[in-house]
Amino acid sequence: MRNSSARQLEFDYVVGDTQVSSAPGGDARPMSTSAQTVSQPDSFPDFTRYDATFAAAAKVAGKINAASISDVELRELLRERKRLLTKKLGGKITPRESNRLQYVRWTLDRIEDARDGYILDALESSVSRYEQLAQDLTNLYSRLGAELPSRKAR
Amino acid sequence: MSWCDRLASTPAVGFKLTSHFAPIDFLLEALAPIIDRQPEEHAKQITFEQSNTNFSAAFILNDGFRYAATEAQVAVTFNHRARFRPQSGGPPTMEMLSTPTPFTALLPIVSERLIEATLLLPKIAERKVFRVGIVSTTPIADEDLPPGIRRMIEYVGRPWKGKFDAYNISLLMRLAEGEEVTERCTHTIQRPEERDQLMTLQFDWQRTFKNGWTPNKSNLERLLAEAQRDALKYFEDIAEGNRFDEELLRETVGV
Repeated sequence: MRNSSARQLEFDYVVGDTQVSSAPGGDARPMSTSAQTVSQPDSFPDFTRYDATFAAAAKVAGKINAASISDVELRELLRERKRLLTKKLGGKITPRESNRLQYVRWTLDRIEDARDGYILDALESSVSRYEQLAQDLTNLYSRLGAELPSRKAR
Repeated sequence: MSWCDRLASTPAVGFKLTSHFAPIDFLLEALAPIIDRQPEEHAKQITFEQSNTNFSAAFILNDGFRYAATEAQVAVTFNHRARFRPQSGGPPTMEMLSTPTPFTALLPIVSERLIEATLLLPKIAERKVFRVGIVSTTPIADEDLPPGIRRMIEYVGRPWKGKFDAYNISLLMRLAEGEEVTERCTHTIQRPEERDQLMTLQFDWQRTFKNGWTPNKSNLERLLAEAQRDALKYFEDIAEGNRFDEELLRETVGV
């Protein structure tokens, strides 16, 4: 099952070789410094070199920003989508309007994901746990099945 | 709101000026008021970058604002900053030091800081501003790309039927040219080969003036306000993607 947004917000502590540069083009050094002290802050302008932690930070920031859209702006986007969809269904949409429709849809998707995506992610997480439980029960049943004939034989 | 807001893009704003070769000590001394007003606990966390020349200096404040100055340029960038904090009996947690703020809200803040830094530079009264630039940098997953930028990548990849493993596209394009002003934008799109790593989008919009502007506060404010408006308009245009629509392109060239 593909992880969606809420799962991506979890930080990946397992990554052992996390490297980050203190400056663009600077020398990379380990992210964790001392176990006793809080590490020095790091900045990370070049995200391609970093691990899931930084991807998660950027996603968190993006979601906070996307979710903070005003109701007025959201209504305006919904109105625009409706207007463009009506044109599309009427077969009168121009290529420019069609591109605009794609962009408006993409924008609304991002807002919807930021506002309500966490509910779907929680559901997804529950489904994963149930799937794992079902797998564990199947394994247990198989092991019990394998054990029973040998015990009967004794 | 811009797509840059929704994808947590980070801004950089800069000026190109008449060259003045002030040694690094002079540059840092000139910019010292910015460092000096930081609270003590934050001032100790300022990162000074190693300079490649004797005429440039750069430092990053605790809240994620990076100041950089060379003999001919000055720029302020916002980057997310984080640190790891060890936890008793558990894994370390990451603490954001910078505040997640929309791109369009950060732009005026970064611009204001740039104006302050510019007016502090050595011999600023004798210098002129020849270029203003606005940069948007976005780390992004493949599936989150705005439709126009996806169309741009597909357009570039058509000769290979779009079978990309990795790419590093950089296009410095002239957008408009007048007698006094030229506008350009460097479009950089990078995708690493490793699937679990993010792509990076960077759009560096620039306006160059044939005759330099005197760097006083009102001129700098005006230059930046106009640059912000026009750069954001262009970034929206890229994300909408009419420029890369083959049907529209055919209409333009009459094929």
